[in-house]
This record gives sequence, C-alpha cells and structure tokens, in this order.
Amino acid sequence: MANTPNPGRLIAHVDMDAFYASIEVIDDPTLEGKPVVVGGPPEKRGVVAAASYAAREFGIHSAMPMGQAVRKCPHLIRISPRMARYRDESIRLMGILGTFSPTVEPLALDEAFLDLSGMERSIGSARELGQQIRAKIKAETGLTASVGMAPNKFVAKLASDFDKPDGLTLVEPSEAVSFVQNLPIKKIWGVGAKTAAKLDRIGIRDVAALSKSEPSVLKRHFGVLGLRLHELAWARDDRPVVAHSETKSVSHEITFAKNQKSTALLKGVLTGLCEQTARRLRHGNLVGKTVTLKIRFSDFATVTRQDTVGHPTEDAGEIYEIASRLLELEREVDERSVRLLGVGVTSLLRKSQLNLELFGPEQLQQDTPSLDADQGDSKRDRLNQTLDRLEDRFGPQTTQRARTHLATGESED
Amino acid sequence: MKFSISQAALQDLLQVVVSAVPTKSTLPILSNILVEADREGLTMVSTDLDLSIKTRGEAQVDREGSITIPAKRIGEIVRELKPDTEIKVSVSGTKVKMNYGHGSSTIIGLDPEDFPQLPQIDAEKMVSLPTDVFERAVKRSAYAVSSDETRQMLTGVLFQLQGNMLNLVSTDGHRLAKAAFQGDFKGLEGRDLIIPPKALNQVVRLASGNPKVNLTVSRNFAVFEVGTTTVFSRLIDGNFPNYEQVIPKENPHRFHLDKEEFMGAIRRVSVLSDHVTRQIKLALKPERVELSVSTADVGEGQEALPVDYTGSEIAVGYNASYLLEALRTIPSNKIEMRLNTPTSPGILVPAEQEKEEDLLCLVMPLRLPDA
Repeated sequence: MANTPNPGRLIAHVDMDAFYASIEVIDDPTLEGKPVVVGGPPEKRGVVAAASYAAREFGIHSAMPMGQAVRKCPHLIRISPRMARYRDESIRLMGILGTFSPTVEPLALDEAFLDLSGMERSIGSARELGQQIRAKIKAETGLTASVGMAPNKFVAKLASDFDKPDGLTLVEPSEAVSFVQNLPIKKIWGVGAKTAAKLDRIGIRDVAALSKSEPSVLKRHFGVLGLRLHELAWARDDRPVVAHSETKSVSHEITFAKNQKSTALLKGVLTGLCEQTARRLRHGNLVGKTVTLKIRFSDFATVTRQDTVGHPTEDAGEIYEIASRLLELEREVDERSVRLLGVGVTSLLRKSQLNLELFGPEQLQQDTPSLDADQGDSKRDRLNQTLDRLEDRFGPQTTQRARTHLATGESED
Repeated sequence: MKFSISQAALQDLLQVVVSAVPTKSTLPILSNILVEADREGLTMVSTDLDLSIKTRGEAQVDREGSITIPAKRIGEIVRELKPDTEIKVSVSGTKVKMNYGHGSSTIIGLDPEDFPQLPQIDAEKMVSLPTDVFERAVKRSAYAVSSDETRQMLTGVLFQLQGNMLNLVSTDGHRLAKAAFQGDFKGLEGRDLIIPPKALNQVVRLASGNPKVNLTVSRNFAVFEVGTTTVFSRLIDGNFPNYEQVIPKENPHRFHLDKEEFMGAIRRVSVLSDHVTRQIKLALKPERVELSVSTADVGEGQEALPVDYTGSEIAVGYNASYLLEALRTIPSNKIEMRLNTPTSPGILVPAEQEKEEDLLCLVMPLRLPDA
C-alpha cells in the first residue's frame, strides 16, 4: 500500500482559540492578557467552559470545576456564558468559511472542517490558502484561529492542534504518515486512557508500533475499533466532509443553581426555554412536530416525555402549551426537586418542505375568541418575526414574555 | 330489575352500543353501559360525552328498573356463551347477577342516576337520507379531515343540506374532498353542520340493512336515527372555511389514468420517499406522466405511465399518501387529473361521475426542491 493517504484531497480543520473567552475579551478590551474564564460561578457548581491563554498558564482548562479554577488562580476573572452572543459569532464564522468552500462541516460553534480539494491551485499554494482563511477570520471577527491542513479529516484535526493558538500547520500527503506516527498514541482518535492501557498491555506504546501490528490481532482485542486504529496509524481516513448535516433536533436546557420544586417557577423557566428553542427553529427556517420535555431530578434520575403538535410549528406558545402539559403530568415534580429542565423539538422539517396550504390564515379564524385564537397565524408570525428582529439588534433576552420573570436559572447548552 | 334474553340478542345489543364506550376515561361511569328494562324490552345507552349511542331490543322483562354495567366485563362474558344460551339477569342494588347454563356471575355496576343524561330532542324538523347515499357521502369525504385539535373546525365533516343537494366536505388544509349528491333532501335546508367523522362512521356501520338514515338537529347535537338505534353527536363549533373559494375552476392540464395502475405506481415510487414529507414528483409530458422520487440517503426511483395529454410540460410535487387516500375513494376505475401550476391545487375526479353524484378531490402540492 502506498504511504501517501488520500492524494489529491485537501482538508482544513479550523479551530478557534479559546472561542468564548476570546469573544469576551473582544467585547471588553480591558480583559486583554488577563486570566479570563467563561463558566458558571463556583457556588452554583459551575464548570470552566472556556479559558483564555493567560488563564491556561495557571493550569486551568475547560471542563474543570470552577471552584478548582479559582483556587489555582485567585485573581481569575469569571464571566457567565452568553450563548446567544457566541452563537451569533459562530454564524459569522461559518459564513466566512463558506466563502472559501461550499463544503463546510461545522463540528461545534468554534470548529469546522472545510473541503478545499483543488482550490489551492487558484490561490497558489495550500499554505497561502490557509493563511488567507486565518487572516480573513482575524480581520472580520478580531479572533484568532488555528488551522490544520492535510489530506484527510483525521490528520487535519491533529494538525490544527499542533501549533495552537494562532497557528497554521500544513501536512503534505507525503508527510502524513510520519506526522501521525510521531505523535503520542493518545492523540489517535478513539484512544483514551482505557484503550491506551490495554494497548500498553499488548506491547503497543506508540503510533509506529500500532501501525506495525497485525490488524487481525487488533481486531481480536478491540473489535472494529482495532481495525480503525490501524488505519489511523497509517494516517488513512476516507470520511468525506459533509456540508450540511441535517439538524435532527433543536433543544435548550437549564441546570439550576439550586434544585427547584415550585411548579410555577419551573413553568416560568420553561417559557424561556421554549422561546429560545422557537427562536432557533426560526433562525434555521425549521418547523417541528414533536415536543420533548426533559427533567432531571436531584438524584440524577432523568425522565423525558414527548407529545406531538397537530401541525409542524416554530411558535414558542405552541411549544410551551405541550411542554407545560407534559410538566403538569409529571406527578413526581411535586415530590422531588428538579435539577435540570430541558425542552426540545424533533421531527423537524425545513419550512420549504411543508405541504402548501389551501387556506390563508384569515380563512381559518376560530369564531370563539381566546387569547391564542384572536391572533391568527399570520399575526403571530409577524409578532415572532418582530421579536426575532429585536433580539438580533439588541441582543438576546431583549424581549421576554411576562411569565419568564418569575424565574432565573443558569443556561448551559 | 329482572329480565331474560338470548345470548344472540344480548350480543347484538352490546355490539351496537360498545363503540361509544371510551377506552380510557377520567369519568369511571363512562366505561359502563346504561341498561334500562321496561315492559316492552331493553334500552341500552353508551356515551363518551361527545358521541352517544342508544338502542332498543326485545327481552322478557319480569321487573322493570335500570343499572349501569361495565361494558368490557359483560361483553367478555357474553361473548364466551353459545348463541342459544338463555341469560337470566337480576339486579339488586349495584350487583348484576347473570345466570346461564350451568354457570353464573355477578358483576358490580354503578348507580344509573350518575350516568350522563342524553341530550333532549326537541326538533320537529327532520331530513330523511337514503342509507346508500349517506354511506357513499361519508366514505368519500371523511378521510380528509384534520386531526389537528388547534384547528377545531377542520376536525369534522361539513354537512350541508340545500333542499335538493347534499354536500359533504372535509379538509385538513392541505387536501379537500367534496362529495355532492342530488336528491330530495328537504327538511333541514340551509343548515351547515360540522360533524366529527367518528360519529358519521358509526352511523354508516349501524345503518347497514336499514333503508333510511333520519337526521335531526337539536341545539349543538346532530341526532341520527337508524331503525331502533339513535346516535347523538356533538357538533363542532367554528366556521368552516369558505371551501368554494379554493376550488379552481380552470385547471387546464388535464389527463386520464387507470386508477389501479396509477395507485400501484405511486405506491412503488413512494417507497423511497422521505418518511415525513412522503414527497414524490409528477412530471407531465406529452403522452406520458413520470412519477419519480429522489431522497438523500434513501435512494431514487421512477416510473412512467402513458396518458392522453398533448399540452405543455409541468412538474408538481405531492405527498404520496394524499394522492393515494384520494384515489382510494374514487369509485370509477378511470380517473381524471387536472393540474394548473406547481403551487396551486391539483384536482382528481372520476372520469365518469356516478349517477346524481359529484365527487371532487383536491390536493395541494409540496414544493419541489429545485423549484
């Protein structure tokens, strides 16, 4: 087998540097160079969602409990997450990446794969193309990105991590095998502490040894994963960059700082969750038919309940109607306190996929006026659009329905 | 209360009323059947509060009285007995004792005083419909109702009586069925009723063997009489949309198809359609109509049928289920399809209408991805 995997392909992995924390620094330049973390407060069991590079010098990393982070760095600056702001910035980022390739596969708000195969020729070189991507991101968002470029997704992702932050690493096809084989074995996708220990027991301690082991032996020990590890040790990865993975569900959830028991308060929180969910449906031009309610009790027992709406919807009120009924039916809520509450909408359709309507909304007015019915669909659509525009202009939570003011919680998507 | 009745007769009565007994109810007494014995025989009533069925039958009554009996339990016991078995029923308090053959059982009933009252019939006007017309009208329209409770008025069938015309219309907002009949339907002219399909289907079931269905309207109830059985159905509130407005007069692209061939092709092609939208494409070309489907991650397929069409080409997307459900109700084997634009309603009609009947099925398209 030739030792140049995936010739002719050029895949980039773009990974933003300390994305949430960097956005906070952009929004408040006085934070520049200071140890900044984004995450909930320690007294509310917060964890570090992102840490600036100054904070990382204190040994702070993401997913660390906030209490521990504060002990490591007493003058740490903690900022509560503003997910809507990060999401908007992410939309901007993906838009920038879209100008370089039609095939952009977002992995998270702050990272994406791009298929750039053949595009380096018009620019001059792959390295030049990589620099242009980084420069455009910096110019338009003020943020820095680390970019890895390689013949496939696996190596590209390793490469973006190679010179982080603010780096560019290009791995030519001919260098891919030696690049991978010189990395610690734990860098191989699928090798965690457990698998590493198991590999160690059969005498495999580095990637080169992994590449030289017999696939049948690996299969015996690790099943299909073993074969995959062997492929990766040879830097082989044929997975395509998938441009637009269809959204299967849209959801929002909240973990409470203090476990909650009051149904009135939970309903207030639910209103907010439904609004956030509806807003994201509308942003994605999606509608959904199934509403899911997720409740985690104080003992971590988790229940999910779902029901369907009569017609695909993107309206917070209609989602709330179902979700609150599901909440009311959950009798245990009266007896046990709730740690987490979440709302999701599935069975999604793009609006363009909806069957065309025979009647306009004005032809389907109910004659018995009620709070919901007296604003027909078109009126409600207009209201929703206006609320969205207000939020787009002035930031999230500019407008809230009255019920929301009952409750406060900590959002963690 | 005391009476005796054959298994066959009791079984028949129970089968008439059992359909209105709700499978789940917050009101326990609704799971029971009200049984009243008078000198002439038995009356049985069941209700889910929206739909009630009342029927009468003969029995040897020794002592008059009334009781409510759990429908499921009495039904299961009676079902297991032979048709010629004589069943002797005697009630004391809420205990219903049944003696049959060499066995007996005692079921605990509930106080008949707690059973919901049937609506009072105070209507003197009535219309009499031939069972055959009623049955055809229901079968050709009821399938298109909406199940969306937020659009109440679309969850029932519009029942329009106009003297010499009877129209049954239903729509879920995406498709519409209209079955119109000519005849002498005098008695309730000018009434527009919205009736739940469940009640209409029950009347169809109970009417078989009876020549006429008599309909009266009492406040917010429609009351159907077939023989010795009466079906009470709550009417649906709301304004049925102005359906005449959305039925296109001129759909210029017209062609004829064999119904069974068309349905077969739709069924085969739609196997590979998206499971939510069920979208298939109909491309009408001179002399043929091409059905096709292409779904990401699922596959693609196509099939062509010859048609008598010579006009310009047009392609429209449809939900395959909507087409199939409409076609299934068309009685003739030749159908006519009439299209206009890819975003306006398509029409399906029998190539030749049945006598004194006018059937029309309307289906709104789905947007084609490349349109």
